[in-house]
Amino acid sequence: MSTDSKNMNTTTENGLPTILPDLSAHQTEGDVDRLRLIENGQVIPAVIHEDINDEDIILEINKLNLWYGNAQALYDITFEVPRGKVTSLIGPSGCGKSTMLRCVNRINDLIDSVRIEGDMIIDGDSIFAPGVDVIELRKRMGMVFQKPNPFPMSIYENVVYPLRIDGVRDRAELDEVCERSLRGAALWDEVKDRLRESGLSLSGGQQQRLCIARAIASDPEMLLLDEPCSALDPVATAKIEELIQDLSGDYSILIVTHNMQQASRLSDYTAFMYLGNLIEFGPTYKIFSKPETKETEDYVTGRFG
Amino acid sequence: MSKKKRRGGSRLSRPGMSMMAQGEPMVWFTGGALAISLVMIVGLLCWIIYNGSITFWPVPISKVQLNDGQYVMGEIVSEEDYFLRQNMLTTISPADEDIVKELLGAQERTNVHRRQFRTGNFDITNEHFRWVSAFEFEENTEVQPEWALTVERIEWGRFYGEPVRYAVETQRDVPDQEKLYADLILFLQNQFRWQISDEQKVVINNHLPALVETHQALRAANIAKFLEANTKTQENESIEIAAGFSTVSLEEYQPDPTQDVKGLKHVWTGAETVWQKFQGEHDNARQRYLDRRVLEKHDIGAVNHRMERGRLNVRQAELDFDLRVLDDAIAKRENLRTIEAIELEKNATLTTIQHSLKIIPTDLQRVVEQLTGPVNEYYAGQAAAYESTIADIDAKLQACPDPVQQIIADYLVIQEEADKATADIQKEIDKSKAENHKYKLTLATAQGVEKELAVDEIVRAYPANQLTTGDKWEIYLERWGEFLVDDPREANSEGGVFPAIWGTVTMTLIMCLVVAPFGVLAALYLREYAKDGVIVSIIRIAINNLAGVPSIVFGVFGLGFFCYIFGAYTDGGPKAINVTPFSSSTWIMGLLITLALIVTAVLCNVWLVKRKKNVRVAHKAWLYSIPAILWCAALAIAVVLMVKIPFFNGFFEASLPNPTFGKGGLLWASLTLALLTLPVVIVATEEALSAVPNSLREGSFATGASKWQTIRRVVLPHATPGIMTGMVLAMARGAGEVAPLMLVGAVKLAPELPVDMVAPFVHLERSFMHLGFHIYDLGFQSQNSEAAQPMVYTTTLLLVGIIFVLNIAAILLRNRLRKRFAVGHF
Ligand SMILES: Nc1ncnc2c1ncn2[C@@H]1O[C@H](COP(=O)(O)OP(=O)(O)OP(=O)(O)O)[C@@H](O)[C@H]1O
Ligand SMILES: [Mg+2]
Repeated sequence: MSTDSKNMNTTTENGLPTILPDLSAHQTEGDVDRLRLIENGQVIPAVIHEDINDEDIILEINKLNLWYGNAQALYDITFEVPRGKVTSLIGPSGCGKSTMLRCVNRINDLIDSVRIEGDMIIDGDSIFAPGVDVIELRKRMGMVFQKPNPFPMSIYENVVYPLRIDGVRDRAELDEVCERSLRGAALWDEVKDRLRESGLSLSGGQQQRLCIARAIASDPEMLLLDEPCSALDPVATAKIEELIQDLSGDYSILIVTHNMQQASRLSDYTAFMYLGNLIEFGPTYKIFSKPETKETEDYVTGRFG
Repeated sequence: MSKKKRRGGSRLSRPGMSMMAQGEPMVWFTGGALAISLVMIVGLLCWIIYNGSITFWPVPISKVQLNDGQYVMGEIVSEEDYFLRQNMLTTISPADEDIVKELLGAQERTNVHRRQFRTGNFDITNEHFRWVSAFEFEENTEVQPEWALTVERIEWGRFYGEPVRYAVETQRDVPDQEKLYADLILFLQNQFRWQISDEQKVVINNHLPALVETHQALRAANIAKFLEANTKTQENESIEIAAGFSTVSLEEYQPDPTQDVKGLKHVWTGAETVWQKFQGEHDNARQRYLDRRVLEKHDIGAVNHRMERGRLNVRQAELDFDLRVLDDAIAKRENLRTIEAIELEKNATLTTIQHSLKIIPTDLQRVVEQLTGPVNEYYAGQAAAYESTIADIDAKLQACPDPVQQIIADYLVIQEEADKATADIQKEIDKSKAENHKYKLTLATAQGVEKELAVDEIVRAYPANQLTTGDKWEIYLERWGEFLVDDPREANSEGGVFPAIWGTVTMTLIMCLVVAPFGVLAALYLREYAKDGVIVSIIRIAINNLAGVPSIVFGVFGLGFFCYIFGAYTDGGPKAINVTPFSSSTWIMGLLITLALIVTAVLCNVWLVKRKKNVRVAHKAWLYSIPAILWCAALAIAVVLMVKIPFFNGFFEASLPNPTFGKGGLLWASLTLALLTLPVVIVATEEALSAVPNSLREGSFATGASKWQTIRRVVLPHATPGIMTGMVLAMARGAGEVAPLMLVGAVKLAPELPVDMVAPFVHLERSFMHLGFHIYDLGFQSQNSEAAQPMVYTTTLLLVGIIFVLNIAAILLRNRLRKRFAVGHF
């Protein structure tokens, strides 16, 4: 997996010209060269599969544009995330997947230079409308980062942190939430005897599961996972994938991943992004077996990136 | 992959690498530098520890007879070789001249050994030390006298001498009957005082001789009884009797009815007996002395404090009502005091009259009874002048408003109570003094000069040449104990440094209490809240520069700003710092403007926060300077308003012109040092904060935590060890700083501790002693710096020790915290 992402990085860093000839070789007639157009700064409507219309939608993304200062990072992104399903975001490094994800709970607000146009609607509530209570919004979703980031406190306190900041003092409730979340994150059996120990004393995989436990402690509507397995070994990865599968259904999950197998194994829907643009969005099996755009097919088969 | 491996392989096989590339010389170079640094630091520490710890070790006493017949006796404290030159011959005493000439011969110079004796006995010889060269006495004639004592005294420093005599006085208690006769005779002899008729005079003069005779007979009998009870003697013991105005030995004493015997003295001689007797009483006498010191310092101090408060109340009333009454109140109290004394004397006389009636013949009885009237009249006449003065004062005070009168009445009551309390305490002090006055130890110097020492003036005495190792350790530890818990004596060159320890620790702790919140909050703002920009960079640079400012500059600032402006303002309000206050209306206008500014700034801030929440608008940094400017303006106006407030006359106006806060003191010193150490704390805290990974902050925000919750629950705990490191550095710097303290409150000798049991317990305005300043004072300001030198080392050792302990404590605390937040490995 690590080699995968490495290769991808090299590609982008080396610049795209190396890809282009490769790409044109596979081009079919009548199809536009989307990648070149995008690189030239054009905005191209994404290809959205019809299947999504049959789903119950939790998050609607509506013509989302985002700038870091003067540099635009997202262009007119429009798609819908189904409820109770796993949706994965794939695309080469730097294409804006994390940015996209971080928009959903407005963690990007912490960066001064960010400006956003367009909107997202979660369960009928606008996310970017002026006057939205960001704190309330963030409490509706849990987020897990690429690198585990347990807080400098005990395992127990780490898990009940979202409740603590809500001012919950009731011991029984905290205990119950702690156990439920740790069980939910498949960590309970490993740590039930050492809840008072520092969260930092766990192994990396355990720490990541601890972060997942923290993310589901306040019983959110959505889970945002940003490459949750990138720092983990195959065993821990497998555990977390299993966990994600268990959690889907109860939670709507939006996951960023660089691992194509993981995306195809885990997710029900997949969005492919490139340089801040959404290229294609549809059911995972379609994206991976018969995508409607050449670029998607090239990317998922590893012909570029 | 394979390509890389090949390259690595070829590198390993390449021979002939230069020394530099292999790094060996650098290992030696860097290691050497470290070793030299370590040697210097460890050497310094060892030097301090060695010199500091030998100071209190008891040393034997040596005695030599010089060629001119003089004796030198004392502890040998140092020795050295020097060159004796021809041209020094003129300065050499005649007794040594021949020897020196022989020694030098034709040589230009010759090497001579000399030793320094600590000879003590400053009150007799006017010197503490004496250098003795090898040629000044015959070789091998040096002795260590068996009974030479080292005596540490409360005053005049050490005394070295041999015990000669130990004396205990016994006072003869005068029985009531005898005393009554004495009083009566005195009363009758004082005829001129009161109005008395010739007829009465005749009666009195007829009876006087008989009365005197009775009195003398009675006295003689009492004296005989007293002598019999007290003149049993043992070996080495003799008795001296204080008969009349002279002292005679028991053997020479001739009973004489006209002579009173006030008491007698038991005298012991013989070194060993004297030493044992002395030891038997020394502890008790010392205890009485220490108890008395507590009475003198603490109890009398408390009474004085009450009196001063009473006086300040009246002074405050003067200021409040714009009157001049304090002098009158004091004058009234003075007169009342005199009247009370007259009353006391009158009562004593009347009591004598009362009691004497039983023991005198009837015609004298009649006369004495008749005298009661004139006696009363006489004392009334004595008091009349004072009473009329009081009446005058009362008339003046009558005109004062009621509250002032009430305050003056309270004042008089307080003063009267205080006088009574003082008298009671004084009585106890006198009793203790009289008791201790009985015990006297007489020592002879090597020269044979005798010196009588009161036993309670001796802090410690020991026969230096007879000590076993155990005794030495006991004395050594006892001296350390004294050093740590006692007050200094003898211009700080003897005794303890407790007030200095206390002052240092209190000041350092207050400094920490001030600097920790300020430093941490400032760093939090800079790192967590402020948007990075020009202003923040300028502030950072300024803070870093502040750390490099010489500390004396802070001292000058502390004196000029804290003491003379801030302190004077606290004492006496705007007038005290030569500021004319605003008129009330202007001031209230100013207040309204400030409030308006604050409201605008708050609204502005609220708007900006709202605007920031709306991510659709671009971020504009300059917008944030609007509320900042508003806040600054509000602050500036508020400061001006505070300085020019018309309704404030200071908290300590009553005690002016004596400054309370308008001079150096604990608070100002702590604040000055807090300012000095602020950059250290800010920089360390900022570093600790920036070491907190951003992912932690984001993680916290993602769960819906607010900024402050994130800082408090995630950022601060993670940064605590780093912040503690900063505090350790700040503390070490603050506790060791001396220069600024000399300006803002550290003194040579502070009469009172800055923290004690008198409310309000922490006296922030008091001057205090400080170990660092103490060292400076001992070493360079003492009129007798040679004698103080050993104390310099000991005090240095103590200061280093205290800083070490403070640091260790902080480091342990930090490590515990660090363990709690230890980063796991995976
Ligand atoms: N704080 C920021 N300030 C300015 N530009 C940023 C910032 N964060 C990201 N970007 C830019 O936005 C673009 C998208 O970044 P993003 O992190 O979303 O990529 P990504 O798809 O998550 O990549 P990866 O797979 O490597 O994580 C990148 O070009 C990046 O340089
Ligand atoms: Mg990313």
